[in-house]
This record gives sequence, structure tokens and C-alpha cells, in this order.
Amino acid sequence: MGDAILSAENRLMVHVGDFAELEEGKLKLVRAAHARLLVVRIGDGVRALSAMCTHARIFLAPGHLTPQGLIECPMHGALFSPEDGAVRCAPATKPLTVHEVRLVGGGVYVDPGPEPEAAPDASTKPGARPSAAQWGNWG
Amino acid sequence: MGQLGVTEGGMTGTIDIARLVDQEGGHVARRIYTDPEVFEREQESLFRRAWGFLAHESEVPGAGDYVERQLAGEPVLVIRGRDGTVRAFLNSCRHRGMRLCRADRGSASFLRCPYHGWAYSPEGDLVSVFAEELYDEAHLDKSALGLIPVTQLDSYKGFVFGCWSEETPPLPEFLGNMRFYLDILVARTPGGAEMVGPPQCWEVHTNWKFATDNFTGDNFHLYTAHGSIAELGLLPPDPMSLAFGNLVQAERGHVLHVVPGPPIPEAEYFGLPMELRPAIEETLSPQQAEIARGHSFSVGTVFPNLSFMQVMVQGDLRSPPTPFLSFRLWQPTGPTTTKVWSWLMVEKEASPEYRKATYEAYVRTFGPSGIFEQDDMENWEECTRVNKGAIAQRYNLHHGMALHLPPDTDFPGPGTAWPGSYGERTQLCFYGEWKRWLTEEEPWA
Amino acid sequence: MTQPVPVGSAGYNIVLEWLYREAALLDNMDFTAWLDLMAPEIVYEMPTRQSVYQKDGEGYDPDFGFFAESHSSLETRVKRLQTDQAWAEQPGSRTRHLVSNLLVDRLADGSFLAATSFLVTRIRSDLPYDFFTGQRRDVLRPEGDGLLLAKRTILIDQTVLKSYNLSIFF
Repeated sequence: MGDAILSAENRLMVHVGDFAELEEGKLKLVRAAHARLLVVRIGDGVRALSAMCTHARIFLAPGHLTPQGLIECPMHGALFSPEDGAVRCAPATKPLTVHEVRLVGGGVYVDPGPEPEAAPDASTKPGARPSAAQWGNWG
Repeated sequence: MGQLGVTEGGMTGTIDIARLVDQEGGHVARRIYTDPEVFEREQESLFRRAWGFLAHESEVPGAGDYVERQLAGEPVLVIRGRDGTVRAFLNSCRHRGMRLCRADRGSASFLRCPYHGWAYSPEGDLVSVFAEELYDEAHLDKSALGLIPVTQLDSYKGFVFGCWSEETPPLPEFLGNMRFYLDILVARTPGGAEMVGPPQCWEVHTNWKFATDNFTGDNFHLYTAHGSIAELGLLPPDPMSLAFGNLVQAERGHVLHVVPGPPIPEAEYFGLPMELRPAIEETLSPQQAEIARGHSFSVGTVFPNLSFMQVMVQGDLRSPPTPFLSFRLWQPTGPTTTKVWSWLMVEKEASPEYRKATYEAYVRTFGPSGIFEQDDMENWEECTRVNKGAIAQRYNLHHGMALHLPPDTDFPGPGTAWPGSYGERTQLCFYGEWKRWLTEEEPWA
Repeated sequence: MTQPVPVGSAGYNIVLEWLYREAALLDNMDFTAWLDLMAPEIVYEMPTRQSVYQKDGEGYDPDFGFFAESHSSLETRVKRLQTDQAWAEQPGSRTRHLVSNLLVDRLADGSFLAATSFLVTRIRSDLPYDFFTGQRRDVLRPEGDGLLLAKRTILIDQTVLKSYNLSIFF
């Protein structure tokens, strides 16, 4: 495979497929280490974004961009730009995280991003408690 | 008699279905229109095995468009995918069975269940599950949890049909010669016919077969059932003027009549506008065009419960006779209840003037407010009321008209045709096929 | 441009009385007199309705309905009822037109826009009641000393009609 490819933040980038396989306007769901990402080809470039909706933490679906070229969350219909993850329609309010992409030798490499604070299934660890942030302003 | 049991735990009942219809003598037992056991056996052996009409492709024009329909009484979503393909699924989430789309029609980029949020693509794939990280692979295989497709799906000239049984022959074989006659109605111009608006729906206290009995080509109720129309001068004065034409058994239970109008050019080609006629001649085969040219009316049924009427009527005392084409689905909702679905169709090439004229002619004469159809509904309701009785059921109903006439071998269309359109032959063909489906493992053999 | 006509004002009462008398004619099966209340240019329509999600509107179809009548077709319907052979109305339906929630606006040409809610019951023979509810949007225009119905749009609440026919007027 050659030398390891490091991201700008010094993380090992993961090969998630080849550029030639990516269809314009189609979302591919990939696993890169601990991360689940959506990879989409836009023109000659590729974007990789976190595949978890920032609203209710549902995994976004692979498949098509909307006719307007946006990423739609299947659960509540939030819309995001594939260019920069910006929210284009409620109920999401926070953008998707954009992950660094490098094209090396025809391969697509992505930065999985920092390890998350809590695993998605943290609730299943015996004795675990939710964080104050998870409860927000309730009560 | 025949064994049923086409599904696991299949029913064999206590009624000898074969004895309920006597095609030779022209007798029909009243209880076929009222009996709960007959109804259940129809659901099992006929409606869960036969091809049933779901929707017309023109009703779901864009990606994500859907309508909710039914097949054998179970809710079905007919939806066009982003790839342009029309599909049909049981309208039920795979999680708790929730009715996924609860509107009559709509458009969706994803089908989201309102209970736990499972979401499906318009192609029927399960794409999103809430808290997916709490499942291991052994317990969640999304690819195996897509929407349940209608077992067989096919379309003919834009009519989407579904079938819950794998064993039933494909749609073209099921329709057989009826395709020849459907072409004359819905594929007689390059663009073909499309639905105008949504279906009108209404509920009648009658058995679905009472409706098909009328729509297999009952042409001789007009002067009495629609006597008020005759009295207004909106029917030809001589009651035998409409007795001409043919009763036709296209194939098995698919039947119709074709009736000529007066010998004037306006009445040819079912009275369709002059500007459409050259296209009709070019689009249809010579035999089909001959039938179109020579007739003004045609009423019939695609077995089991999809009927049509191509007729010319005056919507009011001042309007000229104007044609319309309507399709009906008689959905059995109980032994003596039926939900009627009625569509108006018109050629894609039709002018705005003709669209307006055919619409007005249809709505004023048929549909639930129609000055003809009101009286049909009255008759069916009241027949049903009386036919429920035990004493009444000791006496069979009478279907004896014109049964002695031999076939008309000069008729240009396929199947068997009999001369004259007043008769009860086509009803008996329909009931004969009905019997086969309720008593035979392979009624199509 | 429309001007609201306040409840209880002279104009309001004229419209209200017209609507009550019209309802009485229908319930008394005096269809000839009822037809006399229709303007020659009457458009009498009842759009079909489907159950749709709120983002898709109210579900009425503007181009397809259960009634699409002109004066001539209303006249034809009334004449048909006067033959002895309109079986759907022999014996006649016993109707009760309960008309309420009237709101009136006035157009520049002197016509009234009248919106009412209705509950129409219908019984035939010894069968159960048929119920119909909905809204009517009428245009009543002045003619001589009185008013004529120039347009009626009947917005019924049902999607699937729970009755086997609509042999009555709304």
C-alpha cells in the first residue's frame, strides 16, 4: 500500500474506495475506523461528511441526493449541503462535520476524525448515566 | 367437488359452490350475493389469487408519488421510485406493522413510519432504523426488511395490476383476448388514455357481483331502471333500438357488449371527436378499428372486478350526446357491502373543449349523483335487502334471456360473440369463471 | 374587493332569510320553486375530496367532482324528479338541511358572498340516516327585488361517500 497517509490533524486516513466507483450525485455510506461517513462525488472532487444527523442522531442513508442536490435525513427531513455540511432545512440546527478527503493514486482516503467522547451505545454499559448535555434544558 | 386449500389452512366450506350457478339453465342462487361463507371463500380463492387492478400509471407521475389502494382488501402503496419504476407494496412497516402512508395520495422522498421512525426509500428499501447502534448484525439485516412487495406486479397499457399469488399465470396470459378489447378503449391513440382526476369513491349495500352482473353487459335495464331518462327523451324512443350489437366473451370471465348507435357519422367510433378519429384508425389493428367504427357503446368487465363503460349520453336536455369512458373497481368490503371506485378517462390528445364536455357528461349522468347511476344504486340496494332472506333464498334468480342463440361467427373480434346485446349470456360466462376460481386449484388451466 | 357584512345587519338578514327559505324548499321537495332561485349562469359544483397530509392542502380537486352543474343540467335533474320513474327518489328522500355559521361579504357589484356550514340528513324507507356535513360557498346576486344563486361550491367533509347515491341537492 505504500506510506501511511496522514491528515492535516495527524490522523491516519482510511481508504474507503476508489474515485472511479463513485457516481455523481450518489451518496455512499462507508466505515472509516470508528466513524460512519457519507462520501459523495461533486464534479471532480469528493466530500466526506459525518453520516449522523445532528438533530436526533439518526444515521443518514446512502442513496440519492435530493433533486436540489442536498442530503436528506430519512427520519425528520432535515436537509444538509454536501459541499460543507451546512443545514439547509430544519429540524437540524447544527451542521454535519466535514471530514478531510485526499485522492491518492485513484483511491479515496478520509480522515475518521477524533474518537468520540461516548460510544453511540454508551447507554448499554452497566451503571452508565446520561450527561447533562444530553438532557439539555429539560426541567 | 374441487379442493380449495391454496393457502396454508385453506378453507373448504360447507357450501357446494358448483351448485350455486347453473349456466345451462340460466339460474343463479341468491345466496351468492349475501352469504358470509361465500364471501370468505372469494377472498381466499379468488381475490388473493387473481390479478386485481391497483392504479393507473398516470396517477403517480413523478418520483416519490404514491397512492394508497388495496388488493384483496389489504392496503397497498403504489409508488413510483426515483428510477421511474412503479412498484407496489403492502402498506405496512416491517417493525410493528404500522400503516406507513396514511393519506390517499402524496409524494415522499422517504416513507417514514410515525411509530418508531423506520424509514424506507421510494423503492421500498429499509434505509434507516432508530438507534441502529443498539442492534448487532445478527438481529438487524436491513436488506431483508424492505417493504413487502405485491407478489406479482405488471401493467397493461398503463393499468397497474397486482396479484398476491405466485402460481397465477402472468398478466398477459390472465387477460388473454381481453387485451384486444382494452386496446380499443384505452390505447386507441398514440398517447392513449389517462385518468382525469382522482377516483370518486362511495359505499353501497350490495354484493360486488351485483355490480359486475350489471356491467358484464346488462343493456336491457335502461328503459325501466332509467325510465326517467327515457321519459325526458334522452334515450332513443324505441326500447329495442339498443338491442343490437353483440355480447362477447373475450376470454373466460372477461366479457363485454358492443352496441351500435344510429347510422350517422357522429355515432361512429363511440362518438369520439372527429379530430381523434384518424389517429384511431392508424393506431388500432384493422379488426379493432372496425369494431370502434361500428359501435357507440361498450360496457364490460375485466374479471373479476374491474369494469368499464364507454357510452354516449346527454348530460342535460340541451347538450348533445357526448361520449365518456369510465372504469370501476368494485371492492368487496363484506358479503353485502361494496366500495365503488370510479375513474373517468380521456385521451391524452383530447382538446380542452372535449375534456370539459366528457367530464360534464360523466358527472351529470354517472357517479353517485348521476341521473342514471342514482337509480342503479337504488336497485342494487333493494335487491340485496330482499335477497338476504331465507325464504327468498329458496328461489333462484333468473338468467334466461337469449341463451338459445348460437354464436355470431361474423364478429371481427376474438373470443365468442353472440348476436344482439340484450341477453344474459355474459353474466353466466362470468359466473362460470367465478365458480372455477372457488372450486379449482388451477382455474386457469 | 370584498366588504364584510356584519351579523345582524339588514344585508346579513336578507341573505340569511334567503338561505332558510331555500332550505325549506328543498326539504319540502318543491324543486320547481327551488330551480327558480338559480341564476341562468349558475355554476353548481361539489369537488371530490381526498385525505391528504396537511402540506398537500385540503385535498379538494378543483377539476373533478360529484356535481358539475349548469342551469340546464339542474333543470334536467328537476324534470327527472317530476317523472314517476326516478326510482332513487320514489319514494322521495326525507331531507333536513341544517344551515348555519353564516358569514357574509359584499362584492363591488352588489353580490353577496355567503359561506355556511351545513348538516344535511337524509332518510329513505326505514334505512339508517345518511349524514352529510361540509361548507357551502355561495355567490348570491341581486335580481329585481330578490337574489339569485350565481355560484355554489359545496365542500363536503367526506372523502369516500358513506351513502349509495347523491340523489338530493345541497
